[in-house]
Amino acid sequence: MQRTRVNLLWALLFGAIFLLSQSHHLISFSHQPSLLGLPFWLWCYMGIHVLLVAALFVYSRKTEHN
Amino acid sequence: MVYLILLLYFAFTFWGSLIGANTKNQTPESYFLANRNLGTLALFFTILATNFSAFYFIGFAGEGYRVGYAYYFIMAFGTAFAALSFFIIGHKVWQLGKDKGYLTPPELIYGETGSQSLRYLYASIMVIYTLPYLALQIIGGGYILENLTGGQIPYLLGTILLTVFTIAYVLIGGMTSVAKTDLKQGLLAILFMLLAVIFISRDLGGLAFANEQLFQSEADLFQPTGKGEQYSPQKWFSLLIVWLFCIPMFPQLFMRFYIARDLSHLRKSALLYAGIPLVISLFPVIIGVLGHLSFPGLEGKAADQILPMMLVEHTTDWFAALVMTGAIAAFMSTLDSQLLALSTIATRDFYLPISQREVDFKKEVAIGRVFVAIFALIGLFIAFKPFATIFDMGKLSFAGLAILFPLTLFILRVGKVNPAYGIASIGIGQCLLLSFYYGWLPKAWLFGFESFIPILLICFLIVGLGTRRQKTSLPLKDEGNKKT
Repeated sequence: MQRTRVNLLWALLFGAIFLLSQSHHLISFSHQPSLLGLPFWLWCYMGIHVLLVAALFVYSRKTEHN
Repeated sequence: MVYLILLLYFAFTFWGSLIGANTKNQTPESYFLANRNLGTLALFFTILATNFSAFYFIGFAGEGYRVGYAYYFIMAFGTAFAALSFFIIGHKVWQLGKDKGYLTPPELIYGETGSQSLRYLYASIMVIYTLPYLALQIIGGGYILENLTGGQIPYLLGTILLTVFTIAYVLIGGMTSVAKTDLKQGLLAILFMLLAVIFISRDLGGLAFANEQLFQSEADLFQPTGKGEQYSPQKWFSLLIVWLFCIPMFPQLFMRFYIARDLSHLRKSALLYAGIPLVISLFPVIIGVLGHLSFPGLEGKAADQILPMMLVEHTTDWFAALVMTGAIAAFMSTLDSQLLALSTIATRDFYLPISQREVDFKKEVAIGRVFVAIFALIGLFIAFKPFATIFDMGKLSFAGLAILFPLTLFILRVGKVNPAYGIASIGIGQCLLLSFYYGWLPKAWLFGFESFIPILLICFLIVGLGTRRQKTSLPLKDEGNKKT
């Protein structure tokens, strides 16, 4: 039961990160060129990508210990 | 100079193949799965090289041209999200492969359900939908050689030459040589793409300047919805999530779950797989987007050639040759993996069970070699007249393979699946996919989503109805497959 709850929490976390990747439909990010001429929203979304990798890293450590 | 670089590359690759060809004490595990002994970096690069193919070089640049920077995020984040499958699917596949000696995906399905019919259906779908993706590599190689040599090696001849060469080194070395060449080719591809971006953008006045210039005339390319608002919320969602379901179902990638030395190496390669696309997916997309500055107005399949066109226009001949050699490396690393995977499936999941023959390892490899040649020729035939853009051919392949995911997940993670429900989920899923593809069913029923989204939901439902949660595995039945 405990394991199911933990798995559900992880699923919710990854689901939330996935939902963040849809956020431009609700939030009007600027598409003006910023650093290196790439659009500003792209840099924000790269941050979400980094967040995903960090979550995967923590998840992999937890599964290793289990 | 161009021909010299190409010849050097082919010689280098072939030499690597000969080193990998160890004819002493070869077993199915050593030939097909590199003795299930790959460490983190080798495993990661063989997965990456398998995944990042002509679709990466040609398809990414082409879609970057057609859609804009939004495409980068679709591929980068979508691929990273698919790394979850290494944990959800990959771990169990590795474990079962180690415990029960499975070598192919359909073997696992058969071993865990006991259904030969389901095995044949699963194997058929894997083969059928991998063939267009296999053909993409040949198409990409043909485009590259034609552009690289200024038309001296025309498209058709280029496809034939590259296919014949790939067949040769796959036949000699098997998976060990494939994995070793993947590592070298993966490093080459990443390095050359980075240099390509640097040189092309420098020739255009610098990356920031070029983008600012482009923004004045083509601001749509900078929108998250893409040029012409192509990425509606439903399409954006669909294209981001599909990779989680289809990437583990590529047979050449599924089989790589078997070859990790241990789970620790599989986990680490999963993290690399999630992180690296953040950077490398950007390179071809930037080149595609900036292509509007030099080659405005390209439409449809014409845009698939934007990468070689930009290289020839903005860099020196020798550098263009180097980058396109890296691209050919990517094309061949995917092609060789696909050929090996498909030939293994055809041999162990069709030929041997159907013929009911008991064969030793040498004979098994010989049969596999025949299938390598057969599938390569089929891919070549498709490449002679591509039926869509590289991106659209890839999308069809990915959707067809993704339909296998619900069944696979339930078998590995949930419980005992009734084979009839497994067959139903695949059969109904494929019928629906083709119905939407050919327009027999109205697209309005999809509410703006890509067809595989509702189809996957239906497949999950069907498999779920036919699953008993108490999991008991059936022993693998050996019918005509002699283990060595």
